[in-house]
Amino acid sequence: MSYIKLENVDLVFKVQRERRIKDIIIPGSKRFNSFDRAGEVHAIKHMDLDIQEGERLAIIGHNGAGKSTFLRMVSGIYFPTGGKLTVEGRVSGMFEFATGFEMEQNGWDNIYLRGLMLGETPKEIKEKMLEIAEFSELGDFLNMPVKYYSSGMLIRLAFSVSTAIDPDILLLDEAMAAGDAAFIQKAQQRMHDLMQKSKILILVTHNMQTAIDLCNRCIWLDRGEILMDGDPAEVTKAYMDRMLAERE
Amino acid sequence: MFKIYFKGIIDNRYILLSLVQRDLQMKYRRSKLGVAWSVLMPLGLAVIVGGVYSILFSTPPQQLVPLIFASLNPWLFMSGTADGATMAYPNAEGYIKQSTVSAMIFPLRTAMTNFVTLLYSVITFFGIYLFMEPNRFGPVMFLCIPGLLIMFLFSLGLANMTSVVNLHVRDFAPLQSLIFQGLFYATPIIYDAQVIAARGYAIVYEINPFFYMLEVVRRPMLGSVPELRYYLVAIVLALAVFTAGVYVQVRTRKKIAYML
Repeated sequence: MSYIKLENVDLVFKVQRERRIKDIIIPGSKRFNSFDRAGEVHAIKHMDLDIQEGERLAIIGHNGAGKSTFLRMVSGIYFPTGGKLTVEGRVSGMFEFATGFEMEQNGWDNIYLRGLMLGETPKEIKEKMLEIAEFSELGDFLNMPVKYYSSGMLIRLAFSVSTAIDPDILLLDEAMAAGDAAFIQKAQQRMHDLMQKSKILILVTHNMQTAIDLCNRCIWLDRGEILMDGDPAEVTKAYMDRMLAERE
Repeated sequence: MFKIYFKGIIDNRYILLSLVQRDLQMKYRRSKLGVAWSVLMPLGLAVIVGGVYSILFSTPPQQLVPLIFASLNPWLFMSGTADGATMAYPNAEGYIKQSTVSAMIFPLRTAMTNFVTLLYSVITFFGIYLFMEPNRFGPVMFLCIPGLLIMFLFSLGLANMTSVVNLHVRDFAPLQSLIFQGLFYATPIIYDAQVIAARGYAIVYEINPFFYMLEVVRRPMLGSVPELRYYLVAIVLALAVFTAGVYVQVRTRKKIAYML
């Protein structure tokens, strides 16, 4: 049984100020940079949340609302600085696209390494390599170092690996924002397939229609807090109304 | 504490081994001689340094070149590992922020990659020494294996610490390079310990941890048995540094993603 449970979870980033000898000797030399105070960013504030199996959760909100941080926290990259987070089930995620690749290595090696990073054993990932390669449609490009790939190609590669391992909990950050039309359609089909296996999906998106189409629950995050939690159609509507109201 | 550390490493062993293998492949990527450089580099260094010194001090090169070879490469392993580890986390930022791989494997990755290079050079050494001094060959030389293990443990401990220190204080890496440069001259690497002992400065190397690590590796390589005292000191030092390194790693492992 997979689930995610947050109990009064806090996540605080410490922002390091950059201070060099020059700044001490020559006061005011940093005139154009007011960002010289050490500070904190409270990315997730006292959050309580329960996500059960079968839920497909969309997260919407402005940039900097804490959406990506939330995903990374659930995946276990950032540990909460307060409260209790319980994640039951195997997690696979896609966060940033151009990171986590060995740029000098070819596509095959990167599939292998990424698979290992997602918790596969060498044997398991080798069995899946052909299928992953086929899904990515990268063909001969897989023999080329990935530093020559376009961003769309990197996304194909990352998406193909991340979704090939049958995770219990799938985390996606704007996964379908790039890639060409044909691949987007294919990716959506695969996401639907994954969801059929009644696991948890958390999707961070700025596309309201995606949230409505793919998800059955939606939360609206603002400055680390949940402003609204409910049906995707209602939450996205409230969010859009607010956006329009702010613009006027 | 050790349990957490070793579990973190064992859980990620496939990734670790795969990364080390890649590092080694990448090292001489696109070069014509490829992995042969791992053998040629230490040999060339020993010949250059040994040649210069035998001219300067008019010692026969047959004596000096093996000594320098057997000292210089282990030294380069220790200093290179401590130096390289300062960039272990920044270089792995993509992995640490993208996947749940344990951050503790990255200093170990540096140490292991460098250790394999050291092993290449040790094998080269024996290959050449066999021709130069066949009569000094004997089973004593197998004693360099425990010596190498002690040295590995010590260097891994250093790497585990320097990687974290450099995240907090980014000025640490250049400072450390300077310290190693100084230690290079203070440690009997390119000269014999007796040279300074004869002038009454034995204390300079007696208090130097690197000296003991070198002794337990290079003495057996040159065909003699190190003093028991050196072994004891080396083992105690290696265990202490390793323990401290594990402590630092286990304490900071959850914070590393925040510090990059």
